Amino acid sequence: MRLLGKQRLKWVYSIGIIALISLFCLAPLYWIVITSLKTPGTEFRKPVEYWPSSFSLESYGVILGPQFRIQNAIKNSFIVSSAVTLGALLVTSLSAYTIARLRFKYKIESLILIQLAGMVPPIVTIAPTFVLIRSMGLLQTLWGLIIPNIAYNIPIGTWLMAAYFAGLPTDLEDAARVDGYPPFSTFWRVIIPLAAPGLFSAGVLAFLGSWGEFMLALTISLGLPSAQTVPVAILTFSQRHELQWAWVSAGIVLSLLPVVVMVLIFQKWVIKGLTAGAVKY
Amino acid sequence: MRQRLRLREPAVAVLFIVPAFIGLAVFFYYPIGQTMIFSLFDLDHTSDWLNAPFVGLGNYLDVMKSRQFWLSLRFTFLFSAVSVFLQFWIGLGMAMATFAVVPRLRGVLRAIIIIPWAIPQIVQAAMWKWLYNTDVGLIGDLLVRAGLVGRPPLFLADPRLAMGAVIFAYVWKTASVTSIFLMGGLAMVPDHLIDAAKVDGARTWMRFWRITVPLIMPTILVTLLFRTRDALRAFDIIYGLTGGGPGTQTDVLSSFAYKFYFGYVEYGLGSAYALITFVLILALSLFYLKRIQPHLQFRS
Amino acid sequence: MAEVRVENLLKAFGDVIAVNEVSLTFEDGDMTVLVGPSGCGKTTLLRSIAGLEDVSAGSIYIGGQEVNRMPPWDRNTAMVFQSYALYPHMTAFNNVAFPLRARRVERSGIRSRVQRVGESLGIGKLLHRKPRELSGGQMQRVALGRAIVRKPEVFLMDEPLSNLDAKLRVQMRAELKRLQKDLGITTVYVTHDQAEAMTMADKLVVMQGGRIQQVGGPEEVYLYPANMFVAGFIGSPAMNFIHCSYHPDEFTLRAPSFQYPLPSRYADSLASIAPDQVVLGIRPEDLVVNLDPEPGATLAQVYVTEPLGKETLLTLELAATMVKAVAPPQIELGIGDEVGVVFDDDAVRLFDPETEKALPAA
Repeated sequence: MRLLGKQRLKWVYSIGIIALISLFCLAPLYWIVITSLKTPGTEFRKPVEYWPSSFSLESYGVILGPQFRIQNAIKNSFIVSSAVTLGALLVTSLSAYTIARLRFKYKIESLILIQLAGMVPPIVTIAPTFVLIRSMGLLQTLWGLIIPNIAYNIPIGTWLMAAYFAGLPTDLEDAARVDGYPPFSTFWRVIIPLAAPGLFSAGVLAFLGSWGEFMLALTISLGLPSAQTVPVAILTFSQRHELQWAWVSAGIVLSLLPVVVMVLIFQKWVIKGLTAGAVKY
Repeated sequence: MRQRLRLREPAVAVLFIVPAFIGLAVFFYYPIGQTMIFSLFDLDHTSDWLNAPFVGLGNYLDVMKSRQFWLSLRFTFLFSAVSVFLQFWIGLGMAMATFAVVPRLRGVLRAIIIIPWAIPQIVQAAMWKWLYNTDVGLIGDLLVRAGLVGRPPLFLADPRLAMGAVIFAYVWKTASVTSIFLMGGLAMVPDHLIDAAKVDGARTWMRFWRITVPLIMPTILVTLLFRTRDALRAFDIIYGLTGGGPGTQTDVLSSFAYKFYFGYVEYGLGSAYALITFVLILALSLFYLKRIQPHLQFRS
Repeated sequence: MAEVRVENLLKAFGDVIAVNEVSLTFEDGDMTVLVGPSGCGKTTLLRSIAGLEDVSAGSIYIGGQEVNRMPPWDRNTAMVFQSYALYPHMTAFNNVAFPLRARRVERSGIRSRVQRVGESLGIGKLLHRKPRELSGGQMQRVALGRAIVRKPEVFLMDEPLSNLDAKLRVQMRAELKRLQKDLGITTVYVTHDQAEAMTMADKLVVMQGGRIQQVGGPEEVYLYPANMFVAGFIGSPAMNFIHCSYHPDEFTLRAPSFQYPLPSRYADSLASIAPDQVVLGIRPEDLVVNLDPEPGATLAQVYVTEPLGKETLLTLELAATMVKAVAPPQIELGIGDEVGVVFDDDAVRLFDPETEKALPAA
């Protein structure tokens, strides 16, 4: 590739821009990672060490160890988020198909109902939901988290999938209809394969959304470690061990790793999913 | 050949959408209704609300009389206004940056920008607590080294600084999301319009204000709406970082209401607070939508 | 008004070379048309002159001044895009006024200038409308107005008529040509339509694969194509090519069941080059079809007929290839009929099959 003067200049200031933005976006992360690698106790050394004088993986040992077992929380989060993703994709793609494609008398009303639900702040629904989950005997269980989270995903998921379906060409459905396929088959055999990218985006968003969901997770777990998801675990952990920042940092790093990796791998779909929602107006 | 139940389209349509409706009914509309009912009672438990003393609008009056409420309301507005303002401009800057860099590096930059968004809010709270640590926190230390302050400030203990600290932590994550939304909008500005503007003689600044911004106005308005709504109902970051403190200085409506539910165990009062929050958000959303309706349709 | 000159211009996108060391002069006041198939580099060349692409190597001069390093907004060029590129959120008036505002012309002057330009283009009454309220032809005029209002030194047009329907296109061709002559501004016009190129150009530049194939007036390029590409690209229906073997002792070109005596003007060049193979080119309109062939005449079989109203297009099997000929409309022929074909000797062109270049004629 030939790099002429002007091109070289562009590369230079591109790197500059990236450096600046990295400072903003990544510096906090750097700090946490570095802290997690410091020998516990040394994180309070002054002057502040930006590069550990003594490295240690002790903190990781502690949080993975018998005392805290963060892997439990991570496991829980994975289970919950995976189940939520599957359930949410199913429910939202079905309802989105109705809104986007099928003959249905109440499309506008449905959309309004769905959008309205999306405006509700979690604080309004938390108490009765708590009561409901309790009465179903699902407190402190993962199902108590999975089911509500699937519902919480409905506003965004349906909107996203509906926008996506609306953007698909109608030829294939028309062909299927002419060929005599009933709508149900059309949906499964024709639409779903076509909608793979949209499903992917919606899926990734559902996964990340439920992973980070906090209020319900906090309320449902009632302090019991076995039912905690990552956010709750990190919070209780950091509250209980206010001063053990090396440990807490290690916990934070481990809890971040899955999601950050996921986002980096799936960034294309994440971006598509997020922008489809806002931009399709 | 097996005979399958063949449903006609309208029936299928209903069938498909029913699960979603059930989900909405059970986890949104029923709880809203129930919360409304709770707010009319003086409850310290939830299993037997029918027998609890009925106070009608008494809870709401208590809310109006509570100084803490007005303070948290004020801070909620402040929090929302400032954080949306900041996240918009930072997000816009980052979004435009992705278009200004060399194409090969664009993906790298986008990945960097998206990372703050990926981190769950509450985990960020723990993270920022450490960053704001007075003794050895990164932020304090950087400020000292930059010569801006003599000693690391007490971010989380000083009432005024705490407000700023919470806002900044919130902005850190949300600028990321806002940036992504705006990137989507910017991507829709056709290249040939920018080319035409260049040849017509418009320099960078003029192209930005006269061409780009008007063209992404719908995206901007929708983004602002979503971000404002989210800011008004923020909970995680407050709860995790300051717990609403010091005192209740950094309580927003959501965190404040939560305290009544699971802190003081006053369900009635908590419900009243929650509903007020909801009505507020709803009213603002609808008002906003009405105002921006005309601007939303102009695609060429 | 200025001359535009391009010297050894090279533009590469990564490994792909779009413009391959092109040198060209666009005469002051002329309408020079760049024509060629998609991907030939004509649009890239145009955009490089505008400043929308940075050149990889070479120089561009506008009015004698080197503009390589100048950003587009400093060059005194105006461009009309295929899509018109009208700003959708502005009225037609503001669209046309935009270049003036960008250059900070004073307010009072802007009004009258825009109005005047609008009227001269016949859209004076439409200026308050937004682009979505205008028809294709009207939008085109707004785009033109926006280009004219500034009185630039150079007009750059990137397939401005391609988005119009056929009838409007033909009409606008004439108007554009007239407009350019009236204004006298040096114009670089890009199109992939060879008919459009022929009608519009003062000078024609045929491009392919990033290189110039031929430069010349429309007639010159039509009658004396420099190579097989130009011969086949310019003119519709395209020139026919018959691959022949050359028999020097007999001065004849031969192909399966076909022979043609070498035109005398080619005698010298063929004597010196002495190739084995020669390609004979003849345009469909230079073939005369005889229903009643004379004995010894070249014979061909009708493969298909396409009546066009004003003429009939015949596809004939001749010399083991398909050859197209133009016949008068009333001719009555069916598939399989045998006809006699007579070549207009002056119109025959010979090409070297390896280099594809035209063989020189005396």
